Amino acid sequence: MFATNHQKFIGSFTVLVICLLFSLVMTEVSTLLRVSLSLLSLASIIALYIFYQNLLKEVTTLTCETIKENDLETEQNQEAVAQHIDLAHQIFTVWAGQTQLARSQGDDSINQLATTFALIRNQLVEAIQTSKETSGDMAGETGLTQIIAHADKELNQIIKSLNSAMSGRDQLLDEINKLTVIAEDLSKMGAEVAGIASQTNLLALNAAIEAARAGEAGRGFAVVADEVRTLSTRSGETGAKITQTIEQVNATLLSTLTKTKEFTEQDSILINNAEKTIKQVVHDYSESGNKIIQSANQLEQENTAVQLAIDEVLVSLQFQDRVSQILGHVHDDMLKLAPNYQQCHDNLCQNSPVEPLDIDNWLNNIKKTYTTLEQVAVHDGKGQQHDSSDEEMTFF
Amino acid sequence: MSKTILIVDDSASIRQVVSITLKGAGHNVIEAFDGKDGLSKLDGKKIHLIISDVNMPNMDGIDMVKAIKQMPAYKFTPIIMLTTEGSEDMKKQGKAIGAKAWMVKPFKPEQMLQAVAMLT
Repeated sequence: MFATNHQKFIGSFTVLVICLLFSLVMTEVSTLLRVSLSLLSLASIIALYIFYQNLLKEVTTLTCETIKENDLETEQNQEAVAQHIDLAHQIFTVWAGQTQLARSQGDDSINQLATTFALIRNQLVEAIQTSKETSGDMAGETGLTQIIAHADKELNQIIKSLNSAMSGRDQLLDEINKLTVIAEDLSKMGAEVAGIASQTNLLALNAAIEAARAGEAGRGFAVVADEVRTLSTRSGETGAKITQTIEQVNATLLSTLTKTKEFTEQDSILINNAEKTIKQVVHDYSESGNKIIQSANQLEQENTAVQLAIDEVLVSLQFQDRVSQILGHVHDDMLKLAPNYQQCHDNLCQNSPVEPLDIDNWLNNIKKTYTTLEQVAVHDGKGQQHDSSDEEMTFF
Repeated sequence: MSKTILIVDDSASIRQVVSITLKGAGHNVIEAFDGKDGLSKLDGKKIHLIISDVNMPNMDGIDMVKAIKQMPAYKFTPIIMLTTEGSEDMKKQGKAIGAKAWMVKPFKPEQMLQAVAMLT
């Protein structure tokens, strides 16, 4: 619109100049004509002036309208930009808060997790130690294995003692057998004594008869013969008593021998059974003891494996420190950038000039705050790179 | 032989891991959560080794080590810097202030125990 009015204005101005030049030329021709032309020119000038005034008025009106419209658009744009900047300022503050919240919650959770794993690890270490001591004791000199071996040895010693006692009893039986034989000999000897007494008695009787036949001369011999008869009778009785007593002794010995044999057989069975039972019990205990020791060793191995796994977890949890620092840097950067937007917003609202931003300087300053080489790599757009030098240890 | 070791780190989880590693090897451990706390925990005690983070609130590890090196009782106490910082510039700074070793997190427990054995 402004361009069109400007062209009209230039056209009118050109016509006016041409008319003036023409009137000046005509002035030189004749006065009348000059007057006429002057009047004509004047009329033309007036007409042109009126046109110019109208045109100027129109142009002014149009220009003002245009300026007003442009001002409105600029004002609206400035307001929109200010709103965007204000939003950026506020959203940076909000994001900083959210980042800090995430960092704080992450720290708390990971710390809690590390504490719990540490507790589990310590309990496992104690369990392993207890298990080692127990299984060590079991396998050691005072352990279950040794106790069972000792019991086995002692019980076998008892069995040997019992067998030895059984052997002594056999010897006793032999001796009793010998006594039985002797008793039988004695019985025979008693019978012989009775026989001798009987013969002596018969002999004394014959002597008494011969003494009676001799008369007075044989009287003394008759007395001796009677005495011999009396002695032979008593010897016969004694021999009979000896035989009877020896038979009683022999019967008792035989009874003792029989009962002793019975007891020996029973004891032998009992000892054999006891030996079998003792061996079975010792074997069972030994087997159970070995199973317990094996179980303790297996438990110890598994506990050790779990402990190693927890150690790995604890090492992995150290990454929380890295994550926390990265989030901390993001948080600090947001808070550092937010006031910048605030200042920009205020300047725009007050129609003050906004200071230019040195983006490279900003980015370099942020880069300086990084603590890990990975952060620097990400900042430089190289993506996530794991630096092997991180795992090294440097001694000075 | 059991040693007394001061751990200075603002991360509780790192302190836990270091503490478990060292206690598991039979050492005594004293924990501090930043540089100022670390200085206060010295308290005239016999300390065989100090393991410190670098970036910490209130007082960072660099300033703490500088302060420790000014103390006659702890001037020769070996110090390991345990940090996420892996740049050569930072390592040079660590050497300049008198640290004996620079270990980058995350560390392996056996690596830590080897370093402790070497420096104590």
